[in-house]
Amino acid sequence: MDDTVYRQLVGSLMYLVNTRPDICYAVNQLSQAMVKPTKLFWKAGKHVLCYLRGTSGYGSWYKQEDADWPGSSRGQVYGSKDIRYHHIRDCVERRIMLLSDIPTEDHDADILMKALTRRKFEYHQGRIGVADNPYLVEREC
Amino acid sequence: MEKYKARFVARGFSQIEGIDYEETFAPVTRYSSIQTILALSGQMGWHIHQMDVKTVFLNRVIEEEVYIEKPKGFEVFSSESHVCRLKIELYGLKQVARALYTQIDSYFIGLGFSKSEADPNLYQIVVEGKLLIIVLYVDDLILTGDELLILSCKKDLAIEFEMKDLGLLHYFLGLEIWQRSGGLFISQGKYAREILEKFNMHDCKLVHIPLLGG
Repeated sequence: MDDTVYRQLVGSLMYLVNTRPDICYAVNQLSQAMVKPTKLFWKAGKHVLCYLRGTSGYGSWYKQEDADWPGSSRGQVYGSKDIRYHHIRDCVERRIMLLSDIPTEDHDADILMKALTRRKFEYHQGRIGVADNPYLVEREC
Repeated sequence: MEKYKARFVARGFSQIEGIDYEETFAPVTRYSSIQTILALSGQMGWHIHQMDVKTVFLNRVIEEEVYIEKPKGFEVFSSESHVCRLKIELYGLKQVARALYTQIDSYFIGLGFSKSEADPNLYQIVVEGKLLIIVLYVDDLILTGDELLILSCKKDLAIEFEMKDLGLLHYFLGLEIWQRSGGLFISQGKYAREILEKFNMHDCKLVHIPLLGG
C-alpha cells in the first residue's frame, strides 16, 4: 500500500473530527504512523472506516440548555492536573468556579484520550452529544 | 442553477506589487469561532441566519492607477492602442478581498459593533440588553442572537451592500446544519460518505467502535 494514500486517509479523517469527536482518539493513534505506516496501522485505519460506514450520518447535537443556565446541571470536566493552573485556582477562590468530584466513570474526556470498551465508548459518546441526526426523519417527510 | 452571470474581470495575475496594488491581506475567521457560535446558538436556542454579498466589489473607487486592455468587441477603430483606466474595482484584482473586508469592517465599527480581539471577523453589539453576534467569512455573513436585532440588521445590510438574504443557515464550509426548536445538529455526513467512496470502503463490514481490538 502507498504511504501517501495512508496520509491522505488520516488527513481526511482529521477534518471529520470537527463534528465527530468520537473518532478523535482513533485518528490521533493513526497519526502516529504518518512517516512509515505499517500493516497494522493500515488495518486500524480501515477499521475506522468500517465504523464510519455505520455511523456516517452522526454529528454533534447541541441541545438547548434549561432555563437555569448557567446552572449546575452539567459543567465542564477537567483532568485533575489542570487544577494546578493558577487561573483556575484564582477562579475558585473568587467563587466564579466550583470544583466538584466527578466519578471516574463520568470523565467524558476519556473518549478523546483512551481506548474504551464498547459499553463505555457509547456511554461517553452520548454524553458528549455525538449522535445520529435526530431531525432527519422529520425533514424527509 | 439559479441564474447565469457574465462578468467583466481583470487579469489580476499580471498586476505588479507596488504599482498596481499595495496591500492584499484580508483576515479570515477562525474555524473555532464558527464552532463556538454554532454551539452557543444551539444551547441558547438562537436562530442562525446567513447572508452573502452579491456585488460589493463593483462599487468601490480604486485607489491605485490601474489600466486594462479593452475587452474583445469593444475595440474602437483608429484607436486600437488605447487602454482603459479603471475607476472602480473589478473582480479579479488582487486588492479586492482586502477592500471588501475594510468596507464591511468600517460599516460595523461605524454602527457601534465591537470586534473580538481574538478574531478580527467576529463582531458583537448589545442594544438595550439584547445581543447580536456577526461572523464575517470573506463574502458570507453569519448572524445570531436576538431575533429582532438580526432581522433589522439584515434589512440594513441588504441596502448598504446589496447582500442577499439566505435565511436560516443550512450549509456552511461543508457543515450540514439542522436548526430546530430545542437544539441544533451539525454533521459532515456527505463528507464522511465521500471518504468511504474515495478509499473504496463503502460496503465494508460494520463495527461498533472506531478503535481496532478495543
